[in-house]
Amino acid sequence: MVRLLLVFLLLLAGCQQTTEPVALDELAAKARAGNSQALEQLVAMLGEGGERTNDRVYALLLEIGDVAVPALLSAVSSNDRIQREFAIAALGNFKAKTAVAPIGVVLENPQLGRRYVAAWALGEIGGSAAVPPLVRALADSDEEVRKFATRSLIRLNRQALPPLLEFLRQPQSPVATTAAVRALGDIADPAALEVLLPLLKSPARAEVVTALGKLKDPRSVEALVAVLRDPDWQVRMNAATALGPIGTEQQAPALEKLLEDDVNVVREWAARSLEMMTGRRYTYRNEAGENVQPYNIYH
Amino acid sequence: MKRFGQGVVLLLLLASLGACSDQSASDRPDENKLVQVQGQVVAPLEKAVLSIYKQGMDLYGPVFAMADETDREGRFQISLPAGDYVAVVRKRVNGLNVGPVVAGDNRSEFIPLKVRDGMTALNLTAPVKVGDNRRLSPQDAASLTGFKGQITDADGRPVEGVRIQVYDHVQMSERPKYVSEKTGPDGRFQMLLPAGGTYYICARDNFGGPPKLGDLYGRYDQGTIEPSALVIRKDHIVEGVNIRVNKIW
Repeated sequence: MVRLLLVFLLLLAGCQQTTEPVALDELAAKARAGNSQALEQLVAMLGEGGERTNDRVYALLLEIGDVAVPALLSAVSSNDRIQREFAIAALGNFKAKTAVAPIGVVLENPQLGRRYVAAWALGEIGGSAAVPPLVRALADSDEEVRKFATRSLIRLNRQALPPLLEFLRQPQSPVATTAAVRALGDIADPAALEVLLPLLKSPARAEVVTALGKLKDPRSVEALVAVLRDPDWQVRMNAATALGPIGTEQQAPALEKLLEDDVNVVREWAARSLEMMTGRRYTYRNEAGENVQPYNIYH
Repeated sequence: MKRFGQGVVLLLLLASLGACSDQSASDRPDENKLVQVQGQVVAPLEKAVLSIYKQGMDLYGPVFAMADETDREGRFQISLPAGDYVAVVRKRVNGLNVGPVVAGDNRSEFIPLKVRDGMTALNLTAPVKVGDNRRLSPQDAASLTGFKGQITDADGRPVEGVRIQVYDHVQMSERPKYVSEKTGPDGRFQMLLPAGGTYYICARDNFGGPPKLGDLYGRYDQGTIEPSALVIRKDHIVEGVNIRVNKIW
């Protein structure tokens, strides 16, 4: 009997929740005035149940500003993945330093969904405390998490450099190595050279070649010329691309050989880089067998 | 006598200079005044939209000004500062006011428009577009050069209603070179291209300008500053070009 009564009361409560109109504007006005209860109510509306309103509530919270941070922090550990995603994204936008540790916990828990947003938010918030979980996330099994961690580490730039170098000095999985190499390439600090050069013998060598190109360090020219004969066309193409900004007339004969490569894009990139290195116009044979000049990929 | 001749030449020169400057002053638009432009899109065409570009603007990019939809008689009205513009009328079958004009949509020619003091009248025709350069011709479709993959959301579920945009420049800031149809319920797509080459790709649910808060957007990349280049060889379909779209936060 008591159970029946409880079920009835729960049903009644459920009905009331769905039929009661949510006065969003009124709630937002209270939240703007710093009413913590109203803020908590708004944050609660970010969840899965609020599919039709949560986008609007999210925009409202961004507009309300960092007075919403305490209420958002409590939702970072929510079991509702949608609410957690919105809360973490808002904290990232507010650059809330107090959120770094709880967001780091979410990032490192593989049981949780939509963790990419944690990697994104740590990059937005920044600071040295954000770097270690992001570096560890480069070895994550979720490709999207690795991608956003890479992007955030690039954003944190020099702050991320020593931990990234240390990470690559230890043995890592191929995917983790590749992600760290990509980050180092875009950070483009010459200190990365000594870590990257030995990795030219690793399975990540195509990415290493691209990263060396981004470093634009003349000390890597010899190593780049050596991989112009690599059996993998992507490595040859990346080496041809990388040599453009740092090569000179001296390396031109080696690169000119790639104008006869079997793969069209390798020939095209060889011509493009030769022009940069020598200042002379080069043509290559396109897929239709015509000799053409490469178009300017950067306009 | 010689001095008299020199004086006449000088006078003539000054007079001709004066005439020139008079002419350019009258032609110079006063940008502080708004001039009403009104007219009609004939057949007449209802619910068509007149878009105004300033001279030199990308005529397929964001507009300078847009009139309200034409009424039943195809009439429109817009107020513009005096100046030199390019006008075009478009009516898309999908009912949107942005995005590429495809076969079956109405669109006028680009009409140079000088707006000066007083009312300016403008009548246009907007015939149905036949054929589409941005879509593949049957010959292109037979080339079997392109890529395919799937669009998924933050939970890894297929996303319906997203288009693939293909660029041939790494900045991806210009108009896309090719745009796909919207994905179906399985989120899968196949994009055939007229030629192999190096392409840069994104997927998004909206057209026009940079993605905004709440839009679904995903770029084919590995987290690096520049997008990943998708190298497509002639007569090859690159498989597994999967893109995750997330909200813009």
